[in-house]
Amino acid sequence: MKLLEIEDLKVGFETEAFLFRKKQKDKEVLKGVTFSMEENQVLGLVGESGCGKSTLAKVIVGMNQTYQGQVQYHGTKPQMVFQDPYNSLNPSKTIGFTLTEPLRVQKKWKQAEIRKKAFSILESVGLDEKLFDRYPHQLSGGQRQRVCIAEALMTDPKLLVLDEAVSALDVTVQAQIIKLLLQIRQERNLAMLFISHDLRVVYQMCDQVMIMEQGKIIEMGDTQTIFYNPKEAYTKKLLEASGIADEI
Amino acid sequence: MLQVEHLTIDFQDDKTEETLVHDFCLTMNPGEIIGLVGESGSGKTLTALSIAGLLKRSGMKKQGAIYFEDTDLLTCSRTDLRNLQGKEITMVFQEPMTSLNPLKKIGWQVEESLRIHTSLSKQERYQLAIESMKAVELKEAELIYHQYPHQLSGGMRQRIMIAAAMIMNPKLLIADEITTALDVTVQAQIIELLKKLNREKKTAILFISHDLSLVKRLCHRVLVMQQGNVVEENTSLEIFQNPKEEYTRQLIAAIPKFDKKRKELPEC
Amino acid sequence: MKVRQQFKRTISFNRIVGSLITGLMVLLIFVGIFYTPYDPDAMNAVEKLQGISIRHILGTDHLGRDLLSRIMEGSKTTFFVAFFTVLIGASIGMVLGALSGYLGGIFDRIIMGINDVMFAFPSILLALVMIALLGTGKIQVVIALGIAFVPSFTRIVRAEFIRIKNMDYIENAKLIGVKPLRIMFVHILPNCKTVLLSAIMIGFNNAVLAEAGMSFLGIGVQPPDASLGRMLSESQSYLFSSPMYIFFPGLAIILLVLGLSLLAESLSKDL
Repeated sequence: MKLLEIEDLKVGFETEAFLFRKKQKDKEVLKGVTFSMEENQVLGLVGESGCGKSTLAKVIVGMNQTYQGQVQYHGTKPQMVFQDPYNSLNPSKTIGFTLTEPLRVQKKWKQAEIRKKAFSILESVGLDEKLFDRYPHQLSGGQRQRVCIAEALMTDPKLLVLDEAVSALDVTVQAQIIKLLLQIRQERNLAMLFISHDLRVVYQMCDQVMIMEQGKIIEMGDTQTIFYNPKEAYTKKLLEASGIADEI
Repeated sequence: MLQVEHLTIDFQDDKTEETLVHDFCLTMNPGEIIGLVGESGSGKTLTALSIAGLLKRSGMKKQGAIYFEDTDLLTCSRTDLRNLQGKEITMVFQEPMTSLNPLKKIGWQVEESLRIHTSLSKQERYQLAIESMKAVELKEAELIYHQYPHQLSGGMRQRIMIAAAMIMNPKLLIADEITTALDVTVQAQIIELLKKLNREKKTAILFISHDLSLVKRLCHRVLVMQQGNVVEENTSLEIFQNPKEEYTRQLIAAIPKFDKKRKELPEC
Repeated sequence: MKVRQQFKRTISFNRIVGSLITGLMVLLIFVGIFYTPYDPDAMNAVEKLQGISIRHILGTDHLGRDLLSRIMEGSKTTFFVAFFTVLIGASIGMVLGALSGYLGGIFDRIIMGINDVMFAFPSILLALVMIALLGTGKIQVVIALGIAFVPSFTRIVRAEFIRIKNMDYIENAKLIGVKPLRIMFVHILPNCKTVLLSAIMIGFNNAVLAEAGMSFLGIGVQPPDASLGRMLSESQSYLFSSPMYIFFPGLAIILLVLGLSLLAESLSKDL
């Protein structure tokens, strides 16, 4: 079943009109992106900074409303996990507050239910219940990222958008989080859009890969195909730069 | 050239007393590239800062000695230290967005160490700055000379930082996670650049990173640090082919591998 | 290592001295509510401008009123005027700053425009204009100063909101469907507490000084009510003949400001 369908998506940034300055179209960040995602699919999105990866992520989760084209998802609203675990948790709130907030604002849950659910999700991301009353500064980077994943899972989304979610972590922690993500995917029948500039991680995580350059998807296909038989020159350049071309 | 002997750095608080770097030894020859590998909190940056003489002398308890060509950096006078800094030992930091002063022109910042350590005329400084910027493969160096940091991309800024660090032809360049904030293609270019500078100018490089795949491509010798201790030291080839310590093996296993068939994830 | 220890010691020094001084002043004010040695307004033509004595511990003023009683009364007035001034200034400033920083756009432009206009005048002048409109008296002083203090709080809160609203955790809060008002006051505001606390302390000190200044000019608290600024203003004619008269009210102002500053500084390091 199709989970997400995007057709001819275009996003441009505009400078606001003010006094004598006219409204101007500055730059197109996304120039007609078309793709779709299935249930339980892990799709990688690779590209360099400034190519429009994050803009695409923002459109998908609904943080950017000024787009042209079609964006449709079926099922609960997708959630997002951000890159920097030091910036994505509110420093003045306990982990418990952060976890329970998504359900509290929906106003149809009982306090006890929310707590119970938060504890069970905390367990499924491999964290101790003791962390419930801690503050973010008492946690390590890996633990924080687990909390962020747990928060995203609280509303039972069918699609998770991970924007460079493991890039800021140490290698061993990175490996643990990747493992956790794949495990959660199995347990919850979750689809993921995995955005990264690290081709090695993408290779490990994803079923399919899209390569993006300057607002366009230039190549798309199964991970194996893309890595072993890249067609576009840009894809080859990326593979070479990360030293993968030598290892294959 | 550089000899670090039993360097121990303690941090003391009224509650805890922590040893952040424990018994660190390192011998570095001219023109060598040494990789310092470890996860965050392993003390690698602290070690680098103390070698560069940037760790506050009064702030932490330090034992041991750091000899740079017979000068002990931990005990020598501040004037001696300042004469070495920026001239013989230079450092480049991780974040290219914050390590340049946004209010000063690029050229001014590249020339800064010339202004401090030499008495060259403005014209000569300009010449050297342009040369140094060309050496880091910046095209249109004359144009960039008059630009401001915000007009440049992250990769270009990092090149500027390297150009500024290399302008005095230092004997030792300390590179602290300089590729971490950059895109893969730019990372590869910076690695090639460091190799070239090392080959042509015989600058020794202490390359600090948590990215083992980069270390493998660049360094001659590798030190693996874990929680303030050096757990393994060997040539780059040996470390990657026959890691002896469990921790090193874990680190290497954590690098995603490429096999025809996707392998199961490593146990961590 | 030594430096660190000294650093620690200054923190506790600030806290101990700060709380001692503040405690003393608060004690003085609270006792003053229920009991003063003499009626602060009772004049006594015989005992004018006396120095320290057993009958009048801090002496008397030019109308023979007991200085200690008047300082207790005056500190109370000054403290509450400053307290409510900051309360008004900070709460209005907080709301305006939060809205303006979070919403941005045309609303932000209007608020900031008004703010800039208010900043263009010295706050004491602004307060003067408002006194002219409202008339004199304690409550009027509080309102006038409170409004004059709004712009500085608005600025501080707005700057913090602009910084924090772009953090990932706020983006995430929007994503999970938190309503704007809840984001502003539950998610963002607690993160401003460090900056706000120091702003409130500086504001409080400024309010004490502004009240003293206004009373000194004769547009603040009206006689026979006592306030520390009023007392300073009345005592200036006797600066050389009886220096104690001007010394004690001055000292009370200094202690009030100093004690709270030290306390706030030590607290803000803990936050």
